[in-house]
Order: sequence, then C-alpha cells, then structure tokens
Amino acid sequence: MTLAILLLHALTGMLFILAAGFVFVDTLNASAANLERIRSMSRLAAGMLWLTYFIGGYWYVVNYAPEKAFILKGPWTFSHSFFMETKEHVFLALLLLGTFLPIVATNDIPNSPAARKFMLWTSALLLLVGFGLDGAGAIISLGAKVALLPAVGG
Amino acid sequence: MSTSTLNAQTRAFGLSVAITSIVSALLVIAKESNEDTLLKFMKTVTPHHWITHGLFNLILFVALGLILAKSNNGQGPALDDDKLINVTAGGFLLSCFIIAGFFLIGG
Repeated sequence: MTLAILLLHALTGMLFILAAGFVFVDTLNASAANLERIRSMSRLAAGMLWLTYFIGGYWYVVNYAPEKAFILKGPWTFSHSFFMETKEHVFLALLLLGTFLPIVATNDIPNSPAARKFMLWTSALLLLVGFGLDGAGAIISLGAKVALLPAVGG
Repeated sequence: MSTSTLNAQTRAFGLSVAITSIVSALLVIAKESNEDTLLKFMKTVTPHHWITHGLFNLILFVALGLILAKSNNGQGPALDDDKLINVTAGGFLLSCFIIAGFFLIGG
C-alpha cells in the first residue's frame, strides 16, 4: 500500500509536468481558439500539483521515517541530506507558482504580450523545476535501494 | 495611470509568489538552524514541521495576494509588467537557490 501511494505521487507529478508543458506549448500559439484550453490545462496543472503535494506529503509524514533511517545508514546519505531536504522545501514554493498559473491564465493572453510572457515564464519554471524534483525523487529512491543492497563482494 | 494589460490579481499574486517564496526559503534556514526553538515550536503547531511550514506559506501567499490586489486603487502593485515578471520569476528562482545552497553547504 505504501509503495502504491509513492507511485501515485510520482504519477500525479508526471501528469502535472505534462500539463505544464502543454500550457507552455499552447501559449506559444495562443489565440482565441485555444484560450479556453490553456485555461483548462492551467487549472489541471495546478490541480495535479496539489494532488501530488497531498499524496506525497501524506507519504512523507507517515511513511518516510524508516526509509530515511536506512538511507542515513547507507552510502548515499546525500540522497536525504541534500535531495530530500531540498525537494521537500522547494516543493512548497513550486506549489505557490503552480497555484499562480491559472491566475495568469485569466488574462487576455492572445492580445496581451505581457500576459503571454508571464504564462511562458510561469509554465517554463514549473516544467523545469518539476523535472528537477522528479529527478530528486529518483535519487532518493536509489539512496534507499543502495542502502538495502548487500555489499558487493562482501 | 497604469498602462498594464495584466489584471490586478495577476499583479498581486505574482508579487506574492516572489515574497512568499523568499520568506519560505529564509524560514527553512531559520528553522534548520534553530532546532531546539523554532523547529520544535513548528512541530507543536501541527504533527509535522513541514505541515506547519506549508500552512504558513499558504496563509501568507493568499493574504498578501488579497491585500496587494486592493492596493493602488484596486489595480494591484504599481510595477512595470516586465519588472513584475522578472521579480516573480527571480524571487521564485532565488528561493530555490537559497534552499539548495543551504542544504548543499549544511548537508
């Protein structure tokens, strides 16, 4: 069950990244025809980010402590001390930026260069930092894995 | 007279993203550097300091956004559009670098 929660966290995180990427590309070609789609996908991206936060947050608060203990006894202690610590705190700022995306999308994007630029910057940052946090999650998982592996040749 | 094409909510919450992100990053340093006082206190407010931190951010973000949206006769912060975009993106990125830098040095 705990692994299912973790996988669901990764899945919703990837859906958030996909939605943010969709918004970025659609905004490059913003027009009256795709404005509603940009707004809908912005809301979807924010929704997926919040879902990722709640699922990952539940797992982190309830289930992470034993895994953390293993990681800190293993060879990849940095997977917690740097990657997890950074991930859990950068995520809080990402959540704010993700919540901001649908707010920017309420502007007249096809006719406002400033609104279009703001949408592009916001979605690009969500995309890039989202990818970074996704990679950090993979390193944290590997940190636990190498801690649990028997020593090679030992 | 503002010539911005961005609505008041975008201007207000954009600035709120920048301010709240940086305050959040500074709170990370403060709580991790004061485990016996601030971190301990944050653990008493909710079951986990991370939950307290998240709630603090959310309340600050919403409150600042709502207050700033009413500023400047309801037009939001009087910032040039390009400057606002730079401040929002820059504030967010700066908070990421502060957090990563702190744990890189501290970790």
